[in-house]
Amino acid sequence: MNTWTIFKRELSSYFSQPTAYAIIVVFLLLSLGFAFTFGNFMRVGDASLEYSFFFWHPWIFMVLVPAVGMKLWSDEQRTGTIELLGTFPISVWSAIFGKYLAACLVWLVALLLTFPIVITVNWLGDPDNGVILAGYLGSFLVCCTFLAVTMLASACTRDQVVCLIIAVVLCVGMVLFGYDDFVREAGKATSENVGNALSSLGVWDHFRSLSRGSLRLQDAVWFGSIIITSLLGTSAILSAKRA
Amino acid sequence: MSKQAKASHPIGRAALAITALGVIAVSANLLVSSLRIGYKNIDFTENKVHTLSEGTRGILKELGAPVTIRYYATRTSDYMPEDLKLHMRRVDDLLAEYQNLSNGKLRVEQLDPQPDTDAEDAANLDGIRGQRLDDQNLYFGMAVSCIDSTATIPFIDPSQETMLEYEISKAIAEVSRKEKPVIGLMSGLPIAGNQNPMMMMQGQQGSPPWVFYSQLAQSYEVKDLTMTPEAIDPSLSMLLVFHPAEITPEAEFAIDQYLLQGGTVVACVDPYSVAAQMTGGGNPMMGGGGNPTASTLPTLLPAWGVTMSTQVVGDLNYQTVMNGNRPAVAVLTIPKEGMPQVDNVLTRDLNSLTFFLPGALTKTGGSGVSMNSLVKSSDKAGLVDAMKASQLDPALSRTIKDMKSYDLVMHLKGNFKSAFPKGKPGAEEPKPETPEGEEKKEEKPAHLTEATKEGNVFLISDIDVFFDQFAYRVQRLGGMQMAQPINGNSSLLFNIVDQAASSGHLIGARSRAAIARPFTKIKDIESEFDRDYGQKVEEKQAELTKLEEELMQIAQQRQQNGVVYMTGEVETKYKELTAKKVEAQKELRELEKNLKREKDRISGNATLYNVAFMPLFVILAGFGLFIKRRAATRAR
Repeated sequence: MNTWTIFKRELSSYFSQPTAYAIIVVFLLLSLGFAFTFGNFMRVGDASLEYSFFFWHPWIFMVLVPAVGMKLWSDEQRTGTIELLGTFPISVWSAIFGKYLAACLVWLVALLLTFPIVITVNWLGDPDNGVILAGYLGSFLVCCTFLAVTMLASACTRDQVVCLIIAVVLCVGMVLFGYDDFVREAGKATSENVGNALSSLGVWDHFRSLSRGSLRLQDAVWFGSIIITSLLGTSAILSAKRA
Repeated sequence: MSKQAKASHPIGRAALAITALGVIAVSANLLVSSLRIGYKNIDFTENKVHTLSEGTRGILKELGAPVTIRYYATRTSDYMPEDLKLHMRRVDDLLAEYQNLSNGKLRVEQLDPQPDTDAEDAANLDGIRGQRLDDQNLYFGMAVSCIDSTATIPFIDPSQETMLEYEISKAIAEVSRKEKPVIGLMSGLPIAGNQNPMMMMQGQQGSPPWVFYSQLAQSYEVKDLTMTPEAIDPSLSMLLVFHPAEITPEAEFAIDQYLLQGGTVVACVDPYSVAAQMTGGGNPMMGGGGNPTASTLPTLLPAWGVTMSTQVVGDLNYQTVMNGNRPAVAVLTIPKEGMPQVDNVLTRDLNSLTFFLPGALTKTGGSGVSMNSLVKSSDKAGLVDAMKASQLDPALSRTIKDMKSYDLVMHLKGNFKSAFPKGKPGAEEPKPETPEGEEKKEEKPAHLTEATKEGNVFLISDIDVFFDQFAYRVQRLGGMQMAQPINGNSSLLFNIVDQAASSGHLIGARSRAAIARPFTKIKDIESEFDRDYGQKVEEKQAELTKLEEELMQIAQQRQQNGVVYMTGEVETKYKELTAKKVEAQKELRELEKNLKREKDRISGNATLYNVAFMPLFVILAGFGLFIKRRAATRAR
């Protein structure tokens, strides 16, 4: 119930200010715009959305997701409301989950608002809607992962801008480390095993598997472990600061 | 002092905790991705393209002796292309899945053939040569071994993604099988290749075998029975009768007797074979008229209860648009709807088939065997002239009357009756020298009139479905031939062959659905445009021709009369006709522009609806909410 209270408060604050609307509009313009321009959606004529639409999501998320999550804890600390929050009979975990779920819901809404492209491909061709569903699941999991990392960065800092920079650096790292070009260059300097390790630790191997329609156990472990680790880290930081 | 120490202590502990959590997370991911358990998956795809098929599972279950796969992949090269690298990961996943299902009987060795290494030597021993790229050898293939048998896939081609599981499963089934089944082939075309010494002397190179024949010969022993076999061995697993042009009654009798003993016959008959016409129909250098383009089984088909048309099938729904945007009404691209038996193992995995000027099979009945339609045309099909169809005559679609659906592939099964109740043709003349009793005795064991076992006949009303240019995209790199199926044609044949002659599991392992999903709306618009405006285009064309003729007449008149200046009346008429000609040309071009405009309109609308409308909606929603909130605040 306490989680629900925090969730409602956080969600209403998102949608009562222009922030969420602006980020959703930017996300829609970027993801759909990239699909029809760089993705060559109409020219390639491929009804599976893997390379024209979903391919752009990690690149977009690594900048926009921290923008949604950067105020979660930094703002609380800057305005001093974190101390007020500490006086309520709310556990740290309830606050963390409430805020996290509210931010995730914002991104779920943003993703669902791209439904016109699904209608378009179903009208233009005969796509495998199961694969598209898996693609959306993959995108949402990438959002949740980046949000968790952002939340950890938010707990460590007092300023939104600093939090944004740290979170973006972490997210960019996760995106670039898994990208084939980067892995190849890193493999030159080190060894094949390091390249494979980087690949399995980055986002692409797992996200791409889902956008092809296959949720593997290693994908679930990757997303789950990073989310849990980041949230536990957030809890550790907040508990330490409260003491 | 004590306060400072106390304040830093919890932060330090938190940092330590986060570090420990990070190490645990990284270790967990590395561990899971290196173990096979990491490849277990939930498959969201419609056709389960990421799940191994039942056929593969069956083959792996039946494995007796251990099988080893040596998987050669260059992983540390700077020049491995991106799509190969991505495909390499998919192959990694697939092989891991194979290993999981085999319960320890299948072992996968991952080898990276660097120069001057043991792995490179092993690759060369297995017959796998690297692809030369920027002065480096890149390896991407595998060898499958069981005891002393080895089957190789020299190069795992990413563009043949749909065939990958079949290739691996076929290799495993091949090396674990004890002996090859035997298939007989009777063909009126040089399917097995042609090494005619006369052609060699004239400087022509012999034609290579058809691609499907080469693939067939890898798994089966294929015997060429010629078109005039004396008798057909009933122990053959299957008999292929391909384009039996000008078949003799004696040959039909031999087929008949083979079928009555429980044989399986695949007969490709064709009212007009484009392959025959392309490969020898018009070559005057060859003796005679070259290869006949029409083939049938004149005695057997009626006995089986089937007739085939002498004209070819045109289909307004399934017609194919050829290169240059030319509609070919008698080139049929059959979608899944044209394969009515959705549960049939022969057709359920096929996405499309392409027929080139096929005949129409019609059931006449009376043979007492069951008849199933495997492939049929749409209900907007009719018979059209074969010669005009081969020339892609655009007027052909308007000659179709009495539209209905025709069968293109049929499966007949049961106890057949002989098409030759009186025995072998040509041997019926009485021999007066022989005593009557002896003659009667000899005649009895000479032939069968009733089936002793249940037989199977697969009738296909087209031979071009299996021709290289219509079923495959063939590239020849040096001595190696790489053939990529462009439709389900070859899969249909191999499904039939495998069901009758080999491990039934391979059917389930074949032709997994392609992952590519192209747009179909654009193609529909092109067909619709041709149907709606085809007549108008023709009318405008005829009008243009007529106007040009009239203009020519006037010009000739002027020359004959030697008149330098036209009279007022003639000049007026000339100008009128010229204006009409320009107008007709303009209208013709306008019609053709309509198609492009329609495509652009769809593209533009799709872009607009997707990119502009939803962001605008979100902005308006936010703005509306803001106004509502402010109104509420003001009221308060």
